[in-house]
Amino acid sequence: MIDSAIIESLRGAEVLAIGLCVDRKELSSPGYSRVLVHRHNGAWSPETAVFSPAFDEAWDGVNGVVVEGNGAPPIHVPMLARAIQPPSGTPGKAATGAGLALLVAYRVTPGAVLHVRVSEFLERIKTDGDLID
Amino acid sequence: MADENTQADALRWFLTGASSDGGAQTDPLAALGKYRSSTEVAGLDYVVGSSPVPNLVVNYVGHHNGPGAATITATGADAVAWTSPQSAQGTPVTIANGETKVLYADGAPGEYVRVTRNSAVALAGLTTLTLLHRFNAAVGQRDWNLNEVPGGGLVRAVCLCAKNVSTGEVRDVKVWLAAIGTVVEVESAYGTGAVSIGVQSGTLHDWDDAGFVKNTVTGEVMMYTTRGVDTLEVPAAGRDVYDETGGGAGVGVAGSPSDELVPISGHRIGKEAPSSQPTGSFADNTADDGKQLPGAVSFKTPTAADDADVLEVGDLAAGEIAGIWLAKFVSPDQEPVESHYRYGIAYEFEAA
Repeated sequence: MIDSAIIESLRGAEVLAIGLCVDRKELSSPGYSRVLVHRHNGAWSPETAVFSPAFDEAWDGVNGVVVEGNGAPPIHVPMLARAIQPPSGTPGKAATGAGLALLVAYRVTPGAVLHVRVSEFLERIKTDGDLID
Repeated sequence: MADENTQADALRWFLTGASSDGGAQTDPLAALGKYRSSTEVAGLDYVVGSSPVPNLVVNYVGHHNGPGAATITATGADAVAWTSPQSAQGTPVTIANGETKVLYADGAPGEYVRVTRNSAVALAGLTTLTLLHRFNAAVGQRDWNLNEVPGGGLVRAVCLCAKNVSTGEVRDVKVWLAAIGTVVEVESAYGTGAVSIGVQSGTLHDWDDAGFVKNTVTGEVMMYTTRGVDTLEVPAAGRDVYDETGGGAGVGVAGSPSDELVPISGHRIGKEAPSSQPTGSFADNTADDGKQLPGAVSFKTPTAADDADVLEVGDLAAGEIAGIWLAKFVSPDQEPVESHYRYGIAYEFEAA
């Protein structure tokens, strides 16, 4: 579980990428998930997270998550990129195995492994609009 | 989600014409490129009825609500809900003192209103609003003078800026020309050059008296001089006015029964990426009061999201912007009063 101290530690730290991995069964019923934090140079790269293209469709309509834990305020985590299968044998893949990944940018403690609860998936809504005058 | 800067409110439209990103520039006619202005493209005009919900300020009413009667209902001491002219009351939204929230009509993600609560006093009552189209605004611009454009033609090309104001990505942004009246079908075949196009009787009731129409099957934009109960009169000079088809200007392409005719405003639209994200500039079209097309922009007349010519802006990361140019053309047969007509662009996107 993530606690407020850890959340505070996320603020102001080096900009890293997070691979938020959720088991497939948990996608349909948001539950406890694992956040894997990878040291990164500031921009996202495939090595920072792991996922399977087979699960990619499951992310259609999802544009981020809200994570919370231990009574700490929910954190709204938007998705910045879709999952991409990293090359075989990359550090990320070895570390996490197959799973879904939501790639986000966030300020985190380098090297930390956080356990948080995914409390809400932010559904992408298709919106029609117009400007008429 | 009912927070501001999310879902329908994630993509906001601004004027351009500022000297730096977010700079002051409030004149729609001066939105001639350069940098994004801090002035948001005005939403629908609205008139608030008597005895509205106290301490609740309406900030913005989205165009997609359409004109008509709407209400904001206080459903609890800290909750309000939106009913648009077209759709039923949406899910109540909790709003605390000092917060700005977006309210949606039921099942209508494009029909929204942005409101701010400015007191801790319990919310109560009902705000009635009459929503109205605004004239002489960003898309329709000002009344024109045919002395400026003898014989019709380009009046001005302005640039609006779409900005992703959310913290996430806005995806698949597409822009096209809105249908400004009932979409109809051709009843009998017509040829090239000057033609009288027959449609089902009574279906042209909400079309402008003179204006522009696109046959979405042939791709030809035509300028009609008059409309009757069941006919559009198109002179040779009104055929293929933008020279977009193989037929060519003044000739056009023959149409067939069941071809779709979409009434559109006299606009061509084009997209431009900024010089840099998220605060870069667009082309400077201020010369001659914008009476030319910015050279770097390709202009088209798409009329649907699935039109091959639709402006595909694509995905915008948080904070990113895109320029949409509107080149306004007029017909010599139109009266030079903007408020006699409607002008419109339509768009869609996905956001969390």
